[in-house]
Amino acid sequence: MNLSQGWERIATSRRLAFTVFILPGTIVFLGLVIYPVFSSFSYSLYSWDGLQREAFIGFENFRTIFVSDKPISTVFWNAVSHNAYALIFVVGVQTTLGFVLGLMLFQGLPGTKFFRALVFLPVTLSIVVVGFLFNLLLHPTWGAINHFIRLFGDPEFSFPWLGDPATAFTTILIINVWRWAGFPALIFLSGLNNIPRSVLDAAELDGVTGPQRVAWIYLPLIVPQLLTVLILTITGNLRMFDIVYSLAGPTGGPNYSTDVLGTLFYRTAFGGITGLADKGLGATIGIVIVVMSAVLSLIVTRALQNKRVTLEG
Amino acid sequence: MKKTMTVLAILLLPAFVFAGGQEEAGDEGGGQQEADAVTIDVWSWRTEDVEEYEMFFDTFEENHPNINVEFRAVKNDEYNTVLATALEGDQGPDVMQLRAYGGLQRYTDFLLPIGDKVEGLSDFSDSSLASATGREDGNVYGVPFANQVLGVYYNKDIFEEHGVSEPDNWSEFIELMDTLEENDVTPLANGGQAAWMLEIMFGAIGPNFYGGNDFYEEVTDGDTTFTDERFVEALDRMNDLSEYMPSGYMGIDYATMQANFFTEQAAMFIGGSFEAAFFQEQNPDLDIGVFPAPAPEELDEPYIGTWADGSYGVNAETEHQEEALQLVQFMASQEFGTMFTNSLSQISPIPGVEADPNEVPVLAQFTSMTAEYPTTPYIMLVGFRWDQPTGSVALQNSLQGMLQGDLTPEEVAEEVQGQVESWYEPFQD
Repeated sequence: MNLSQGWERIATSRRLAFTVFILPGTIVFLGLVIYPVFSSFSYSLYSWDGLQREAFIGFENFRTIFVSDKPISTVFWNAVSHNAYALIFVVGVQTTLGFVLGLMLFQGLPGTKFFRALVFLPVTLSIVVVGFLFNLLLHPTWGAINHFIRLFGDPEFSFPWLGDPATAFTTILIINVWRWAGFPALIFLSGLNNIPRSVLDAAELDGVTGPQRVAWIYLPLIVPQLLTVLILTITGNLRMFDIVYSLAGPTGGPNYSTDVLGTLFYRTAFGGITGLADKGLGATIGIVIVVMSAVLSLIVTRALQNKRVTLEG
Repeated sequence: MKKTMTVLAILLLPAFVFAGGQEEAGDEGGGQQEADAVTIDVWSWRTEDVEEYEMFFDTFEENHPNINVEFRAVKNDEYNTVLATALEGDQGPDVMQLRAYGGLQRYTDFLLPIGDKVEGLSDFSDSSLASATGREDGNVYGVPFANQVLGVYYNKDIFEEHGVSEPDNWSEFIELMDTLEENDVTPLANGGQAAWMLEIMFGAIGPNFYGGNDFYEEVTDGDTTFTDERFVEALDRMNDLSEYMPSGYMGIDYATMQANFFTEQAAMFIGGSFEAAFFQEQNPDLDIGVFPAPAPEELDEPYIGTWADGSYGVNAETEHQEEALQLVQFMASQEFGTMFTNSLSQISPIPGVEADPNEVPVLAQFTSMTAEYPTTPYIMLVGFRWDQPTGSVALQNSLQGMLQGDLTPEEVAEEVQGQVESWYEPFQD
């Protein structure tokens, strides 16, 4: 037995070990992620009578949703516009707020540990709890928020925050920001903590202060974290469902003013109390959500790739 | 070698654990008699009525010692999803509660036609049977369990306190609500966040203005449309009611509406007979009555909106067809109907069953209302819930828009017409 054979044996057994360790994960991933995506895609190419697959109709379901004069198309674009609004609102407000919170926690002021836990607390709450909590807080008659406004202003004040189409969706988005802002904050904080002391010291010696430090030192060095946050926020937004469902119900009411792709998908695929299910159209909406998530994530990754700064030496 | 054995042992451990579990489960089967007993799974969306249903089935089990009924209730708005998924995966129950009219159609392929298998089913009224009949094949798939009637509940004590009484027509109704409002009483408990409750409200008051059965027949035949001025008029009257609802009514959800009424925060509740049991249970001291949704003066008598709520059907794939049929046969009997009516305060469609006026006074009032006045189908459920978007979905969401002030009654009518027209063939000619 010579030396190279020995190495070969080790290499083979290591490869085997890798395979064995990766296998369970791969099987679960293939079975629970890849297979459903492809089977949904095949569902979307058929017409359905309720629960039964009928005929192969190619991309007809996509046409119905995108460009037909059917009511589903109107509802679809309405939901898309809400997702777009949510994306701008949440990426803008939640990411900025998360960054500011991260910066504040980075200052190393007294009580940082306590505030770090506090900021992250809403993230750990179940959506059911959040939904119940805010339904109570925002209740027009006995909700604490209206009560608070009554204390300082109009004693008759009774505003249906979730019942008025003009305010319902923004109210839900603000709750969403409250719930999630701690998450980017912690990611940014970990990024900031990873910046070498020497860089910060050098910047200080060069007289870089305040806003300049944020723009020239912090931001370029946490681009990887920013990328993670943006991709998670974007895909999270396109999958938005639970918060709307728990605060406005599956119809995205009132009068579709809070309807998003997630709730539309749920209703279309499964029906609901007074609606009827259409598996084909439901699967089509599901595929649209997957593709949109992938494309947007790719765009963000590409756009931020060049902005990344690596420290040398 | 030792290591290999350890790894092997760890890998095999779960297998032993599971095998052990299986053995235990097998042992539980136990005695000869229990092994013969057949379990019939029954699914329903009436989570509110679990106790009562278990009582009904106890009676059944006493006479059928070989059958064990397992009742499972799933939340109303998730029931369709749960049932559909189960049936698709061959995991469905033996007997299941079925939605009426259009809601039934999607399930017929999974159901056993029972029209000629259940004795006495043919004696049910045509309108009840229609709710359990397949639209394409005309087979009866279920035993109807309840009829619903729409009307206006009122709090007798509040009415007495403010010297008002049941209105005979629409203008008296408005006058009465003005009086209550002047006395700082919220006239209506209803709100707008639960869209389906707006359809219920419209189902109660609408028919008197769009002309009940005449309009229903014309519109289902495609001889007129929802943009008909009679229908717009009905929407307009519904719109008038918003000022009598609680402040911030668009944020009032279903549970709050009910609470507004049974905690005596509001004087009236426009709703269905299905609320009666709940109100009575929540506040036994509540003295309530019910009157028909008031008609305009020029109409001699008001229309009463009604529908059949659904039925109980048998899974075509059940392994225990004989026992399942025995159970639905029981659910078509007068014995069941009487128990059902008096303990759930629901109106039974089983011929010969009457509500006991001492037991549930409001219910007896509902039944006498249907005897005294002409009834009319609850329009969107009975006529326009066959395809999507259903007439109900279209109406509910645009009614929210109207009560919010974003849509005019004319726009609601156009919206409903546009959506239903997209699939309803008589409109397309």
